[in-house]
Formats: sequence, C-alpha cells, structure tokens
Amino acid sequence: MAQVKINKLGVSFGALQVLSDLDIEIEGGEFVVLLGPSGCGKSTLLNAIAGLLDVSDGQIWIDGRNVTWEEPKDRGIGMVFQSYALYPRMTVEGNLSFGLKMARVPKAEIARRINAAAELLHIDKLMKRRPSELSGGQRQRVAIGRALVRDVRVYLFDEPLSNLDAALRTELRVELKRLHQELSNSTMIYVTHDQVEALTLADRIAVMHGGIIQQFDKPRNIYHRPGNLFVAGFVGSPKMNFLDGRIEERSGERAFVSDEVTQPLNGYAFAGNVRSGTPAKLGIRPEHVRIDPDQGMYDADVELVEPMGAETVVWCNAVGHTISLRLEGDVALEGQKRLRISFPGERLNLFDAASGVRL
Amino acid sequence: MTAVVAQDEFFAAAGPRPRRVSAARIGVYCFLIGAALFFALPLYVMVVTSLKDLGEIRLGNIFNWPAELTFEPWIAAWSSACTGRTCEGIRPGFFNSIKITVPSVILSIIIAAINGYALSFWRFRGANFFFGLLIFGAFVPYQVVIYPLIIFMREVGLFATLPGIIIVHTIFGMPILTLLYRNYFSSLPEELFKAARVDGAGFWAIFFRVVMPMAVPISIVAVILQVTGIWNDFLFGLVFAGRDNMPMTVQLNNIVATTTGTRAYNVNMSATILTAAVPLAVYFISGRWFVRGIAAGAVKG
Ligand SMILES: Nc1ncnc2c1ncn2[C@@H]1O[C@H](COP(=O)(O)OP(=O)(O)O)[C@@H](O)[C@H]1O
Ligand SMILES: [Mg+2]
Repeated sequence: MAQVKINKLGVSFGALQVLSDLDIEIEGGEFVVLLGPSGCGKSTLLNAIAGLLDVSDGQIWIDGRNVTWEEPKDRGIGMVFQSYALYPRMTVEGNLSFGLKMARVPKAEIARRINAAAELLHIDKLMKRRPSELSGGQRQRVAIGRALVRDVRVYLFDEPLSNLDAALRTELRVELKRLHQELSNSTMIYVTHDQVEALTLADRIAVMHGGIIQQFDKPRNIYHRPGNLFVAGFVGSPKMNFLDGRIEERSGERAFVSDEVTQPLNGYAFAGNVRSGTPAKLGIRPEHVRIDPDQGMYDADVELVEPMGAETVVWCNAVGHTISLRLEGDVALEGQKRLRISFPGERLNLFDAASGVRL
Repeated sequence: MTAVVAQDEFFAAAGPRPRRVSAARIGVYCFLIGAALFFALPLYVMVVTSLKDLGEIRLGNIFNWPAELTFEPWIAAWSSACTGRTCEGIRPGFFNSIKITVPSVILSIIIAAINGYALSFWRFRGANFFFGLLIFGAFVPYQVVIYPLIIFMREVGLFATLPGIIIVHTIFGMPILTLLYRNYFSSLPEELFKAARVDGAGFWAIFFRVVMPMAVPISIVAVILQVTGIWNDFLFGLVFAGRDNMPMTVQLNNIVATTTGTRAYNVNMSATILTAAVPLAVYFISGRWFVRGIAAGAVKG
C-alpha cells in the first residue's frame, strides 16, 4: 500500500507560478481523482508526482520515501496519458516490454508480466500490431497495459478517456474501476475535467481551481455538501441554482432573505455560527427543487422543457432568476405554464457571499 | 429552353458528376506542357550533342538527332579528358566527391538530429539562445566566413585535406538541418517523450529507440538536401579540399575550361551529364522513398 504525500509543493513555469504551497495526502490503495476545469494545474500536479517536472518548492513522498529529487523511473509509478503516447514504430508487444527491457528485467519475467497484463485488458490478440492499426479504445488499453507491466504501487492517469467517444468512455470507465478493485493494493491518481468520471470512479475527489485544492472529500460530500461556491457551481449538471441575499435571525428562527424570497432554514445544518445580516448565497440543486401545488412557496413560470429520457429538465422563471428543475423522465407537464415550487431546508446549501465558504 | 434542360438535370443527377473539359483546364495543360518543354529542351540538346561526333556538331544543327550514334565522348569524359596536365577524365573527381559526400552527409545528419532532439525535448537552460544563434548562422553569407575558416583550418592542420572539407560541409549543413529536425521533433507529442522517461529510457535510449525510428521521413528529406547540396558544391571544394581531393564539380570546370585545340563540346556535355547524374538519381530514387516513408510513418497516435 503506497501512500502519496505532498508537502508545500510549488511548481512554476518561468514567471508563471502554477502551484504553490499545495498539500495533499493520499492513502495507500485509494482511488483519488483530481477534478477541475482545464488549465487549473491538474496535469502539472500529476507530472510533478511523476517526476516529469522540476518542482520549485516542497516535497513529494511516495510509499514512505522522499522522491522529490528522483527520476521518474525510480519513483515506483506508472503513467497513462490522454494521447495514449504509444511508441508508433513498435508493436503492442514492443510497447509493453520497452520499460521492462530498459530495466533489464529477465526475458521470462517480461513474458509473464506482458501476458498477465494482456489478459487482464483483453489485448492478447493484438500483440503483433502497430499502434496505428488499433482503434482508440484498444490504444488506451495498451497504454494502461504499459503502466501495469511495470508492476508498481502508484498509477497516474492524465485524462485517459478524454479522447474516446462517449460509449467507449463509459465502457473503459467501468473497466478501470474493476481494475482498481482487482489490484486492490495499488494507489491510483486520476486527472479529469469530467465530473461523471470523478464521481463514479473516486474514493475521494480533490476539486482544483486556480492551482488550489478547493475540497478533498468523498464524492458524496463533494456533491451534497460542497465546501465552497466554486465546488458547488462546478460539480453538477445542470448547475446548482444560486440566489443572492443574506441570513437573518427573526424571533430565534433563521431565514435566508432577499428581495424576492424569505426562505426559512429549519432543517439546514450550519457548519458554524452565523451572524444575523451576513450576506450569503443560497444554492439548491435542480433535483432538490420540489413541485408543491398546495404548499409551494414561490411561483415559477415554465420557459423551456428538455426531455432527456431518464429525466426531464425544466427551466423556469422564478424568484427573479432562471431556476432549473430536474424531474422524472416521464413527467407530464402539458399545458402547465405556472408551477408552485418550494426549497426543502435540509437540501439547501448556504455560502458566505464574500469568501464563498460554506456556512 | 435552358429552364427545361436544368429541370432534366435536376432529376437525372445521380452518382458521379460527369467530367467536362473546360477551356481553363486546357489552358492549364498547355501552360504546363510548355513549361516542361522549356526546361527539358536544354537537357535534350545536351544528350544529343554528347552522342554526336565533333564533325556533326560543327554543322550546327543542335536540335537534330545524331546521324551516327557514338559513345566515344562519354568514355573520353569519364576516363581520358584532360584537365590541365593530367588526362584521366572526370573519374577521379567522381570518387573524390563520393569520399567527400558520404561522410559529410552521415556526420552532419547525425549531429543535426541529436541537436534537434536535445533542443526540442531536453529544454536545457539557454536552449532558445543556442537555437537562435544556430539559425543566425544560416543567414551569414559564406564569403564572410571563408577566409577566417581557411586560417582556422590551417592552424589545426586540416587545410586542404579530406577531413577538412568534411568538417566544413558538416558545419555549413548544421543550421538548416538542425532547424529541420528540431521543427519535426517539436511536432511530435511531448507525452511520448514523457512516457519513455517513465519507462526508464535515458537520453540515448529515447533518441535511438523512440525518436529516430519516427524520424525516417525527415531523415530522407535531410539526405536529399545534403547529398545534392554537397555534391553540387563548387566553392568549398575548390578552397578546402586540396589538390588531391578536388570534387567532381571542380574537375568538370577544369575539363570544360581547358582550351587546347578545338573545344570538344560532346565531351563537355557528357562530363556535365555525368556530374549531374548523382543528384538526379537521388531525387528519383529517394523521392519515391520519401512518399513511402510518409505513408508508412502514419505517426499520429
Ligand atoms: N510547459 C509549460 N510552460 C508554461 N506554462 C505551462 C506549461 N504547462 C502548463 N502550463 C500552464 O500551467 C497551467 C496549468 O496547466 P495544466 O496543469 O496543464 O492544466 P490542466 O491539466 O489542469 O488543464 C496552465 O495555465 C498552463 O498554461
Ligand atoms: Mg491537463
């Protein structure tokens, strides 16, 4: 079980400081996803862990060893890249064995490891082919195989599924999860900008933005208890609905108040003490907005209905904002121009308007 | 009437569009054929002249096919035409040119490939400055550096020697070849290089086992460039090669310029064609390889 620990890491390209003072501690055997928008420094962090970039500050520990100054090959890592990065002039077999030959592994052992990996990834029939004769999915399997044969404790994935079409992506995603279960003592660090991949694969997700880890938590908490405004807005599709206002305390009851709404907050679990009058943002996910013809609190004018098969997204004009609702796939809204909706208190998210931190 | 035709076509259109010969197309072909003839004509004149004897040449009908075919001028040009005092034909020049060209091409391409590889993948400090300096070298006129280079070569004892001329060609090929390789390597995905490093390959292992196998197409371009450039070189050969290593171009000049008795136009023509044969052959042979190299290279991962 290889723990990966990063202390006060800083990486810069010339004058551009991409990462600074970054700490993260990944348990052995964990599947951790680095999730964030493009350009936020995910690949930079992964490359620093791999030793492909020089760091300007801090330390990297893998499996109890300080590897900050070590070469990539000595760090006990395998890596899979978005563009597959297979050696085009070598066969699949050549690609898989290259690293082992470099490490002077005995022939018999090379053959054994290649066969094991090929079987695991269903590429045993492709061994004599060149990468150009493989489909995208097959290429990525080979690339994963090339990392597997190294027989290491930590695997790094940099957006491995981004170049594949949707169906293949789903298929390989499931296989990756299965792979992690089979190699139960290997640690996986997986970079993606795709939240579905992150939520389905991860034991824990580190949401990154602007080179800073915004929240490092279980997928469930990332989705249901986002730690700040960025995480709340980035994870989830359609996006969480946000309203601007302030927290007010009236006769012992706290409420979220704006020009359009007065939303009681009973049932909401505050993270700490909040002063009355604090400017705040209220967030509610589309699937948590409730349609309530009798006790609904707000009027919502239906603007657009998007049937998506398994679900239906309804865009309404309510409380001075465009609010999205996620409903059952076979919901019938014919002719309904106006709905009554309410926001259940236990499903709300409140954030400090100034700092963005969860209240 | 036209409306009716258009209607017919509207319903009839199916499958490949019928090809029509337009006036513009005929014009293009006429121009191309004309241009081809214009450039082929001197070659034709050279070939027929080289196959005539001097008597027939004196008649002055330069476009006529030889009345009596003779290969004597070719044999003379190859083995017995006189350059100054010696009469060995152009043959020694041919072998000198081989001795100069082969090592120069190999040496310059190997060094340039390593340069380009180091510049695009191992971005050491000052790499851009170094590259800029090298490219600047491509724009310095030869005349400026020849004299200092002569002094330098004399001081290190390589002036007028075979290694001397090889080094000169290697140096002067470096900017353009390095540019060629660097740009080619820069277009390869960097992740490939990263993957090789994770796999434990070092500087040379990556160069020989990953990068160079992908560089076949560009290497063929480099070979064409260098072989033709060095084979056709006159100036450096004249200055740096020394009397014993005069390349074929210099020898050709000597043959053509030697004026004892009548001018042997047929021998001159033969010698010229012989000298031009190597670059021509390189174009024809490697041109085909070049296309094949690109097709087989299907590098994109
Ligand atoms: N080699 C490089 N040189 C200069 N800037 C770079 C380099 N690589 C990445 N960057 C910059 O660092 C930032 C983070 O990049 P990256 O880690 O690749 O983002 P991500 O993988 O999250 O999309 C970006 O702003 C990018 O422009
Ligand atoms: Mg990236």
